[in-house]
Formats: sequence, C-alpha cells, structure tokens
Amino acid sequence: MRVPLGWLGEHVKVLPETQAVVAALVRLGHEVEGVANPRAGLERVVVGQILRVEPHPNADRLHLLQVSTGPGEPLAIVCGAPNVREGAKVAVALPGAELPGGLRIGKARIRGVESFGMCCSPAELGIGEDTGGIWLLPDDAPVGEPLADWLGLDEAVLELSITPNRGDCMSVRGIARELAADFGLALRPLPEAHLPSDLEPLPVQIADEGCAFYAALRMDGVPAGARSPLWLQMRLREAGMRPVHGVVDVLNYLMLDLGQPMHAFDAARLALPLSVRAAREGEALDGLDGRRYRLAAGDLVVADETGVQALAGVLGAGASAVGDATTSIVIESAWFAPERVSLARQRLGIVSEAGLRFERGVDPLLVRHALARAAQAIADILGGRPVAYGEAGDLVRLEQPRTVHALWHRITDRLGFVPPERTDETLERMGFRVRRHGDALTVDVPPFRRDVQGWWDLAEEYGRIAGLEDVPGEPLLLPPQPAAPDRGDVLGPAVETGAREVVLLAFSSPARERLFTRDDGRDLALANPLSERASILRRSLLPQLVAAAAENLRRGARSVRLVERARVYRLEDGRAVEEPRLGWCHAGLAHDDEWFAKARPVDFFDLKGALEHFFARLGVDAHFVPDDDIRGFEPGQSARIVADGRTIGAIGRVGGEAAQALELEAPAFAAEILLDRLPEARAFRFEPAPAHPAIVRDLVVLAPREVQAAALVEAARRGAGGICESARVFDRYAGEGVPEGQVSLGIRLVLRAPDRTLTQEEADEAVARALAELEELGARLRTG
Amino acid sequence: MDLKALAERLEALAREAMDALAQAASLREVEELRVRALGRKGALKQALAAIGELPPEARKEAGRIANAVKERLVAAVEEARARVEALERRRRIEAERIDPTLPGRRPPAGGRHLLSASIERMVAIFRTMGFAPEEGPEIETEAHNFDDLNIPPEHPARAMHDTFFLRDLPGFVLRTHTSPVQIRAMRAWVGRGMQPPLAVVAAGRVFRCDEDATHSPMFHQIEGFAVDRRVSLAHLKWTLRRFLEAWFERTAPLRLRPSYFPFTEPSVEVDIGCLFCEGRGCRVCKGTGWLEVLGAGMIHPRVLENAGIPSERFSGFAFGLGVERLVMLKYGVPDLRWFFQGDVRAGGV
Repeated sequence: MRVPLGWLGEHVKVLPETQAVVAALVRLGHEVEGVANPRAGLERVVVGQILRVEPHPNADRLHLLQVSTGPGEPLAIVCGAPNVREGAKVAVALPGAELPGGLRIGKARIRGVESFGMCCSPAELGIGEDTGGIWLLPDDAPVGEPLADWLGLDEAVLELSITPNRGDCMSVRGIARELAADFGLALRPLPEAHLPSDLEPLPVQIADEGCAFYAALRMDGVPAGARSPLWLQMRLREAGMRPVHGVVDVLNYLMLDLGQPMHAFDAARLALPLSVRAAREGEALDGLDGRRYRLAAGDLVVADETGVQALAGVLGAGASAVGDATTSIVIESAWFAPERVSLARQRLGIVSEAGLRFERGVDPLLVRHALARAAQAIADILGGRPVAYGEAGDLVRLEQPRTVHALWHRITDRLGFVPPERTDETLERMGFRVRRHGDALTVDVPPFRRDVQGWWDLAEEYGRIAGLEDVPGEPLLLPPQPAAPDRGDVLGPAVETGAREVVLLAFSSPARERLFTRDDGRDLALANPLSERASILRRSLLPQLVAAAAENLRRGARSVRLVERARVYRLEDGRAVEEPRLGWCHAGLAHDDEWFAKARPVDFFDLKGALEHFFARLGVDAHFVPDDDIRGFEPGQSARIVADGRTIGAIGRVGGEAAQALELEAPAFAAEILLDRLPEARAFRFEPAPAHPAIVRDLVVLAPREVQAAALVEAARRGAGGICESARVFDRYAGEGVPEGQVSLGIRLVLRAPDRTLTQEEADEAVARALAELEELGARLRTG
Repeated sequence: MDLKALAERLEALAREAMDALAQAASLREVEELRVRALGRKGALKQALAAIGELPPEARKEAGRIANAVKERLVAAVEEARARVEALERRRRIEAERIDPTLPGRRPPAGGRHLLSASIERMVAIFRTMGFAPEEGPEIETEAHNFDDLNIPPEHPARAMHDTFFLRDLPGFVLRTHTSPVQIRAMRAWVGRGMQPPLAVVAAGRVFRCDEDATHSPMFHQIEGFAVDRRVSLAHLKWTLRRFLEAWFERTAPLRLRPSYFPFTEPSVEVDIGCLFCEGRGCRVCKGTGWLEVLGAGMIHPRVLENAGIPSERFSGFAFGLGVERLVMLKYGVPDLRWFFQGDVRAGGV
C-alpha cells in the first residue's frame, strides 16, 4: 500500500520526520519497501501560460510559443503538440530540469530556432497518462508557481507491505492510528457525517449469511461525465490508483482513507430491489473489467431483479457500472464475510483493491460512516443529492469488542523479556482496553482487530509495541546430536570421478520424458504449469540432465561430465511416489587435444569407470549386465546395473532418437542409479597389507566373441581358486592373427596366499586350473 | 738398462697415460686406458719387469720410483673416471630434460553444486547445535502444507503462496515451504511420548508457481524448530544468531522485526547487519544497513494442537530460511537463475 505522508497528516497532528515514521512502522511490523518522492524531477517545472502561438519557420508540425512563467520576459519554446492554444495554462520544464523519466531539459536549437524549455505532457511529468498533446492545466493555475506546489504533491510516499492479518492497516486511517498510538500523539477524530433523515426508502435485502450488513444510498443529479478535482486525482495517483470517474474516484479516495470499499451502480440500470444472495448454478458475471466470470453456486453476489450486478466485495458488473452518461447512482457500503470474498476471488483469480480489503475484514464501525462521507463528498465536490436509502442486516454483533483473557507470565515467557508498563498505554491508544489483576490480564479487542483472537496474539502486540530489538539472546541448550554417519554420502564419491554436480528444475514435458520412460499413464501432471515444457514432474533424471549436457556443449564446453541427485515422481495406485536417484552424463570428449595425446571422444568405458569408482567407494558390488532394451539407450551399448541380484540402475549410450530430440552435438553416455535400491554401504574395516609376496601370471586366450569378458575373468578366478587375489583383463585384441569370430583376451592373475610364500608349482597348478575353466567356455590358450 | 733409463721410461709411460686419460670422454675409454697402463699385461707391469735386470742396490730405488708412478696413474684414472662420470651424467640430464612449463596431465575436476554443498553445511551447523535432521515429501497433502499450519482455504496467505496443484491428485500440492515437516515431526514426537525437547532441522526443495528474475519455481528451504517446556523468542534469537555467524563466518548484529506468518505468533522477520557495508547503508541493503535473511516466530498454539501437542504445556519456535538467498549473500551469486542452469562454466553452480 502507498501512503502519502501528507495524507497521514490529516489524521495525526504534528507527525515526526519521515525517518522516524519509517523506523516506527518497521518496528511495529509494517515493512517499508521504499519511500518515493513524487516531487522528484519536478523541481524546475512551473505553471506557465501560452501568450502567443506562431508557426515554426522551418517545420510544419512545430509551433513557436511565447510562454509566460511569471514576471520577466516570456520564454520562447518550440512545441510539437497539436493542442496548443493562446491563453492555455501549461506545465513548463525550465532549462536545467531533469524530469522523472530522466529527460534533461536544456536550451536547445530545434530546426534552427532556439527553445528555452519544454511544455510537458502528464506522462513526461510522471503523473498520468497522455491523451494526445501537452497537459492543459485548469485556468485558475497560478502562473509562475512551481507545479509540484500547486498540485499539492507530497514529499514522501511510503510504500508499505501490509501483512495479510492486518486488514485494519489497509487504509491511511489505520496506519495513522498505529503511528499516533506509538508516538503518543492524538488521532484526529473523524469528521461528523450523517445522511439526511428524510430519504425515501430503498429496497435492499440479505438472503445469505455471508453478508452481515448491506446499505445502499441513491443519489440523483450527479453531473454527467463528472470528473474529480485535480487535488483528488493527485492523491489517488500518489496512492497508486488511476483516476477514472468522479464518483469512482471519490469512493476510491474514501476506501484508501478509511479502508471501507464502496461500489457505485448506475441507478438507471438497476431494477430494484437489490439483494445479497448466493449465486445460482450457471450464473455468470460480466465484469466491468470486460471479462466474463462463471460463478459457482454459493458465490456471494449482489443482484437486482435482472441478475447479478456484482461479485460481492470484489467486482461490479459492466452493465450497471457508472459511466459518463450516469446522472443517478446507487452507492453500496457493506460488510461481507471475509472467507466468502476470499474463496470466490481466489477461484476466479480476480485481484481488486476492494476484494483485498473485504477478505482481510473491514472495520464494522466505519461501514455507515463511509457511506455518509461519500454522500457528502459527492454532493460537495461533484454535485448531486441523496434521495433514497435502505439497509439490511445489522452490525451490532460485529461492533462488539472481543474479550481476550491472558496470563501475563505466559506472554513474557513467550517473548523472553518483560515489556515495559507504557506498553499498556500504547495498546489502549490503539483501541484496546487493558485490565490487570495480578498475573491475569483481560483485554477488550476493538472490532477492527480481527487478527487478535487469543493470548498468543496479545504476546505479539506486546512484543511489537515494546520493540523486538530488545529481545535478548538466551542460549537454547539442546542435547547434542550424534555426529553425522560416515556412510550415506553419495555426491562426494560421485564428484571424485571428475563429474560436476548440477541442480536442475523438477519439471519436464511428457514429450521429453517419453525419451527415457515408457508411456505408462503414471506421469504426475501439474494442474497449473508455468509452461508446456514444464507441465509434468520428472519421471527420470536423464532427459533434463542430457539436455543440460547438450546445452553445455552448445555453449562451447568440449568435455562434459555431469552428475545430479534428485527425486523423480510418479503416480502409482492413486498415490504420489517420490524416488531418489543419481543421474550421470558424460558427453563430448573424454579429453581434449593435449601436447601428449590427441583428443578422444567419450565412450562407454569412461562412464563405466566413473561408476566403478563410485561403487567401490560405497562398497557396493555392482555388475553390468548387457541389455539391449533400455529406453533411450543405443542397443548394443547399454547395460543394466545389478547389485545383490537387484537392478539398481542402467547405463548406456544416449540413443539416436533422444540425441536428436535433445539436440546433442556429440556422443553422450548416461546412467541413472536408483538410490533407494542401493545396498547399504559396508562399514569401513581395516585390512592389513599382505604379509607374503604375490605371483603374477598372465594368460592370453582366444575366445569366441560372444562370450562376455566378465564370464571369462570369473572362470579364470574360479579356476585359480582361493589363492587368486585378483583377475583382470589387461589386453583385448581382434583382427589380424586372430581367427574370425574370436577375440584375444589377456587376463592377469595375481596369486597370493595369506599365510605363506607361494611356490612356482602352486602357481602353475592354479594357472592350469584357470585354463581348464576357460576352456569350458570355449576359450583356448593363445600360442605363438 | 740402468736406473736412470728405467726412471725415464716410467716417467714417459706415466706422462703418456695421463695425457690419454685427460682426453678420455667415456668410462669405457678410461677403463681401456687403465688396463693398458695398470693391467696385468699393462705398460707398468712390463716396465717393472726390467727391475730384475738392475743391480740389487738400485732395485730398492727403482721400486720406489715405480710405486710413485703407479700411485700417480691410479689417481689419474680415478680423476678421469670422476670427470667422465660427471660428464656422462650431464649428458644424460640434458637428454632427459623436460620443459616444466608445459601443462600437466590433470585429472578431470569435478565438484559439488554450491546449493547442495551449502545445504549440507547448514544442516551440519544446526546439527552441532542439537537439531536432528529430518526429511519430508515434496508432494504434500494440502492439509500438511496449509490447514494444519493454520492456513485455512479462505486465508489470504494461502493465495499468496502461488501453489502448484497436481492435475490427477486432488488434495495434494507441491509443498510451498518446508513447514509441513513440522507437522510430521511433531506428530511422530507425540507418538514417541513427547520426551522434550524436540528439535528438528529439515532441508529440502519447495515449489511456487512464480518465475522471474528473483523467483524460481523450485528453490530450497531449511526449516528448523524446537519445542520444549519454556521456549521463547530469546532462544530463537540466540539460535539464529549462532547459526548465521557460523554460516557467514563472522559476527554481525541481528534484528527481529514483527511480521506475520499464519503458523507462528508472534512472527518475525530476521535481519542481519549488512555484510557488505557494515550497516552503513549500501546498494545491497538498499541503504537500510540490514539484510532480510529469514522468517521465524513462535509456533502458533493452534499448530501445536493440530499436531497433538498440548499448547499449555509446551511452546516452541520455528524458522524457515531460503537457502538460495543465504548462498547468494555469502558467495556473491548475482542472480538466482544461475543455480538451476547447469552451466559448467559458472563456478560451483
């Protein structure tokens, strides 16, 4: 909410300086987001009068003006506006002015003619919209007076963020009450305002408990096309609202002033009686914002004989809205139930100043007052007279103060300090009544403070009035937590492989997800996505991760290694399932050109090596089982990852379709690990270094191509028996010298006994046994 | 041959051998020269054979001369060997010389993301203060996310949460904050018999359907709360101050400002003295000298009751901090969007 300081001054006498006001508001819980100065940029703008209009000698569309800005020589000003005329009062920016939009005014030569200033449009001055040409001021504007003075612009407008519990502070009056109470200043009484007693009855009725009170006043004789005076328009603009129509402006002004929203209907377009009721099935509102809203049965509406004329407290109908032809109006002032206004407004997505206030609760004490003030202001400022009045419901119950009982020690316990005695006085100035009996506290809460319901709310009042800056720090001594376990960290081991961790958004599109996940009807779609590309939750980490890798390649990265830990989501048996996963992607080069090596594209074994390191660090015994049927991966270059007999993930080359869809410019390999299926990491145990020497033997065999290396290694290990410490492939060759359909595989066995030095004979026997096992698989020793 | 002739012969032999040794350029050459001069069939041995022909009285003197020559030769060989070894060593060094200014073979440099590493650090700080880590689902019931936290459907704050709803899962939302973990942890505590204190820290992803320069539809929060017999705002202030000083690795003043959250009463915004201008006022703090870092308050009695905790016996505080904001402030990340772009050119994100 924007509150001009001068406006506050109408409610509180002798306000302290701006800084003190800001500090007080912040301390009381009203965040000041900024302090604007509407006069900024208008320092050298004055009221002027056009004395003469002559054509510009060198340009058809320009005029040469003689403009008086007070005693002294008139100024020669070149102006291109079409609406210049002799005698008109205008806003003149003098040389040296720097207008709110940043435009600097100097002496200028325009098409060969010197110009000593500029006649400004409202937009150029930052105080309105352009309507074609310069701003023509009213004839009573005093020539030579600084424009900001004459407009009565404030020096400071507070930009406040009012928390949703404080509906009472959605008005200048409400803010003034807080400040007056805090500074110990008097809040000026509201001006007396009463409706004439001799008005005709106006039929209104309430047919829904969502409206506690409804009053309607008819005024006739309002001038057609009524416009509010400039000072009022300026006030509205300073407060962030646009002037619209005289009647609407007055009602908006009073809403900003008092917090009570009011709506004006064109009386000629209403078929009385007015009735506040629940909307019926199928009813709609054609709002004055030009949009059509389908109402739900139960929405609180104001209707006449013909149908819905307003969504109560939110938005009026276009058909009965006040317009330039209007001469007779019906003004409503009411108290609508906040929750009814809120639910309808939220469902229909309407943001209106009235709605924001009604749903936070308006002051029941001001509902009638505001209407009387409106009648008076419209009659005084615009013209017109009240002729008929009607009301339904009553405010008596709402006007009663609520009594809250509290124990003082509970409040001070909660705050951690004892507020000083003066706090009670401040609370009383805010409209509360405080009675104390020892530890017991009885507080009458004023009706406009709907947020104060229990003793805990009083704790907040006492806290903010006393000032929370005085809260001391008191140690909270909690029993210590056990130190974090040394198992369970997956990202540390993952990034040790050279991968960069990324954090990507949890959203994706069905098309993207289908690259790696079958269409199983388990996507979790958002009801209100921000975009089509982010319309469902991720089913797999891979689409977005591979896309991120592709994006990095496009940005010029040559070698990309990414890892991400995140959840994936799916619908299962009507429930949402969230699963933690670890995604990997290597794309582009394994390494770039170096002085010692040529660049090499990344391949399966780069990523597999990273995973092997990862699993080794976690103590997980993982196997890679060839699998041609993994969605998104290239057949022949993909595998399931298996541990303890369960599939815990997959690895493979990103397949053609996915690569194309994700615009990959280089080969990419990806893997995804299902973290919730990872076997529990083994606890670390010390293992001593071997006490006896090893014997290393290399076996080179020819084996059929289709036999997996892992099977051969396993066979060799099995054959070598318990003394086989390790067996691994150290060479692989196919081609010249190796028969078609076969590969040459070198297996290095490390043999060792824990308790003695092995003899060569023992090693020979182990190798022979290994060879025998290998032969079972169709392999034979390669000779020569 | 007389003694004099023998001495001259030995002297010539020595000079010749020593000249040759001085010229030798390899160890092999030195060895050859040694053998030729001092070997079993070497020049010296041959010369000494002539000693027997001398008269006995001259033999002693001849032996002395011969020994001196031998010693000179042995020394010359050693010297030549040392010289040549040094030479060969230098030659080898030159042959194997590298240019240490060439780039090394670096292992690929991976690394953690600033956010996830920071979350671990923050949770660790709270852990040392006695808060137990908990987690909760990202897809939450509306009851946990709102109603139980004292945000009924018509509450204006509910509209301000910009909630993502799920099309096929009515009653569920993407959690808009980590506060639902409060409800879950408190109910579990009630189930365990309410042995005070209860102190929990919960980090995680949260979602709001809002996207611009300062809002991401997904971001991270850390929720912390403590429930005990007599917990106050003063405990909250101490706890947050300890945390913030540990996180920013420096001391800074802390300010509590009254605010409003439906699930705390009183509610406060917590400001820390501006880290960039020491409170004098700068662009980052918009001239106020303070940086808003998180929201907190005393847990609303209705929230305690909703979780089954008797509010007249227990009180508690709760806070929720935006991880991104604290990370941006600490590491100078200028724009939230860096975190989620996966751009490996940017450091740490």
